[in-house]
Amino acid sequence: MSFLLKIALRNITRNKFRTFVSILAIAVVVAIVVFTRGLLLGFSESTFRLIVDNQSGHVRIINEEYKNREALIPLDQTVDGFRGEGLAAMLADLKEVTGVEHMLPRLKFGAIASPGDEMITMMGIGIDPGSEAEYGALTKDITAGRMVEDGREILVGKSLLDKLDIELGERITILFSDAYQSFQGRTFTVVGVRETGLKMMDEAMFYLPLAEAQQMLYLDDEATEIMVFGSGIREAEQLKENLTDFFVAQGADDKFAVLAWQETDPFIEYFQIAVRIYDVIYVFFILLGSIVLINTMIMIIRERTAEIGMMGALGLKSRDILKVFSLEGAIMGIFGSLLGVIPGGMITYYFSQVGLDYYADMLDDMEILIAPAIYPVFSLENLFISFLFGAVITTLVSIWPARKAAQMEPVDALHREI
Amino acid sequence: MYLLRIAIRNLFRRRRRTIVTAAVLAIAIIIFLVVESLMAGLTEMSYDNIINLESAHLEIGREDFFQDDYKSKLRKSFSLEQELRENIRAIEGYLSHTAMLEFNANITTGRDEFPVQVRAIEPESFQEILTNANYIIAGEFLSSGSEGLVIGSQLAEMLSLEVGDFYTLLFQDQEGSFNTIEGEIKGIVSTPHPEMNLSTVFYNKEFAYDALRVETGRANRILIRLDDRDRAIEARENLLENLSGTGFAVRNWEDSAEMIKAMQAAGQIENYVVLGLILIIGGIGITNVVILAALERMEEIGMMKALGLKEKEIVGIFALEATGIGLLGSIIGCIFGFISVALFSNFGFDMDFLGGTETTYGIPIMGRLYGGWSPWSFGLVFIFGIFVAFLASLIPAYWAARKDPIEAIYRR
Repeated sequence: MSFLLKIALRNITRNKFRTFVSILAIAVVVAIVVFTRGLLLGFSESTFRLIVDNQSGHVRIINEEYKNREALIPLDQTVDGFRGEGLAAMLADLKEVTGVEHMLPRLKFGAIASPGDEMITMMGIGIDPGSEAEYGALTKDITAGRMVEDGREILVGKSLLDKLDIELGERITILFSDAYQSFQGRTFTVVGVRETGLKMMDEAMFYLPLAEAQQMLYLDDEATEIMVFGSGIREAEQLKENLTDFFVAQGADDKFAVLAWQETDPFIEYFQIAVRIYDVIYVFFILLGSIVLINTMIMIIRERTAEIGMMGALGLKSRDILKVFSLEGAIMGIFGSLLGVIPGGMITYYFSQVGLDYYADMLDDMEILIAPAIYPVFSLENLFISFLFGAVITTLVSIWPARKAAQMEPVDALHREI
Repeated sequence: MYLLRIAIRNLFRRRRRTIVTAAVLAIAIIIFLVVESLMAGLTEMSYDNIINLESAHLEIGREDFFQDDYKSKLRKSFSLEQELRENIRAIEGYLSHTAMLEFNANITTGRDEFPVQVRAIEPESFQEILTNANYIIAGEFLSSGSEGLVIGSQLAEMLSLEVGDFYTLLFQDQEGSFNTIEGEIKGIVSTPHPEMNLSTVFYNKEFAYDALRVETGRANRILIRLDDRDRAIEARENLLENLSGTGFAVRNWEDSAEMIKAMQAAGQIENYVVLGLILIIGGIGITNVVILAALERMEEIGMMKALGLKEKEIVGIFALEATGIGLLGSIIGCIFGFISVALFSNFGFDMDFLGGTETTYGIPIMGRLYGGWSPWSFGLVFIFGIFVAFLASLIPAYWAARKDPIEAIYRR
């Protein structure tokens, strides 16, 4: 083998310019793959994190009937314990399930405010300040003031605050229908401002202490959903299974829907399909680049027909000849992939610091949680996988022309002078 | 001419190499054309939906009406004075107009409540402007003299409403006090514009004035239909000029389609990037082909030089050969691109797999998507493919032509 490797290495250096162009072609495609993967990883990670942190948790527990009527923000299908024994008791039980790290009970309701004479529709979200602070996603976007603690305090989205035309520290009366459909009003003090950069949240949502929300809506010890967090997004499936088992054991699996984060929004599903399609695109891309390698190898083989005949005559088996040539191709491919990872990594690193936000305009009217700027992910794992993509595919590709060389009859090959 | 003949002959010497390299360019072109068609189709469909179902070609409202859409719209009503009507009629290409009163309300049906935008319309003139009435799937659309509410299919489904069911609209009237309109659902529409199916409802304007406490005859939004949508830009300018100083704002359909335009722009950038990337690979492929050809034909190059061909002419031969590959790639790409786009624009494909009726993420399209044609993009990529091939061949061609003739012949 080392003898064959020596031949292959020597052959590579026979025409350096030609070799260089083939390596360059592979390097360019691998660099593109590195960057595209980094971009897509960055996009999906930030988008998924937004959805997980604000909408679903790793696993979302809601009332089975709430699922189809969520757009109405109904208050009559709540999470109120396995058998109606109350939210607090349920949370205490769920805490014991393996893998559960954080639980954020939330109580969502529709509300309106009319400062001056406009009517502004909003969504109120009752949150448990303690557990929210512990998890941290909500608190980290607070740009002014503080988190709500208890009593009649609200944390308001930045654009909503502008719409309401009030300032931090001022009071606002909010109108809503309670669980018995009667129309009520209550006055709150704005203690904090939250800014995420996402219109969908900043313009319509405010947060208040869960206890206050429960009391004013007549939903004592109830919530509309529980967001459950485990150790990480990859463990969500397992966490869902554990929770489902627990619900079955409690006999409450009909009453509640236990949904992993990716099941909560069909958008995520399409996104994940798209990510898989991209894997095919990478392969396709590298194949396109490999055409250069194939062309070069076909020429090399044509050039060395006499040599191949000689090697055969000297006793090299056709398998060895196959090895010599595919090794030559593989070395070019591996070297090219290695070379491509460097500029690809550099570009990815640059943009991972600067971010890309050319499509932010169109998000204004979109009703999805999408990160307004993409920060591509620069990770060694990505570099390595892209390198592997390039190296493996080019190696496989180079077997094809090498087979032609191996199939030649030594006598014919020797005879065919060019 | 002589050089061209050599180049063409050379092109056929290694047929497989020529075709494979041209295929890379062709693939770039096909992908570009199909994506371009997809986007054109998407944009066209969105424009149609916006024009036919949402805002017609031109709309007039008071300046503050369009500025902050969440603030009490009823305060921004105006009466259609003679002068305004004359101005509207004077628009070039004017077909008809309709006046409506638009306001926000919450629709309730007992236990559930949902925020909607109510369009209080004049049924007759409205139907000359927008086509919502054609999409009725149950009951009937509004007609003058009869009361009732027309809602979208998605709203009906969500609130489990049927024709004949009772509803209540809760809103703030012009004075700011809460008031309601009650009655029966008269019809349900299911349009290709998702927003119209969920959060927009229609009511007969003549019955609305009392409850809204708006003086009879007033409106806050006028929609105008022209004979050609391309006239809208100019018409808007003219109308603005005539209405200057009166506090009216004029928007054309493109203003309502800003998100679509942003999407299209973003999509276009992406498409050009992808085209560029594949063409880079194609370019490297062509550089490689020229190098390989030059290496193969060293003796020939030496011979040509010995026979008196200038360096420039040798460069020309190689560049022509590469351009030939580019031409071949462009032709193959455009033919297959044409076939794909033709299939796509004739048969279209169903967008239901994108979540069907429930989720459309604010994009005003539903149902079947047909590809659009954009002839100039064919021309663009055709030329671009050839140009890239030509450009990629120059450096290696110079490299080949520089070879010393004696050394080149003697190489072996």
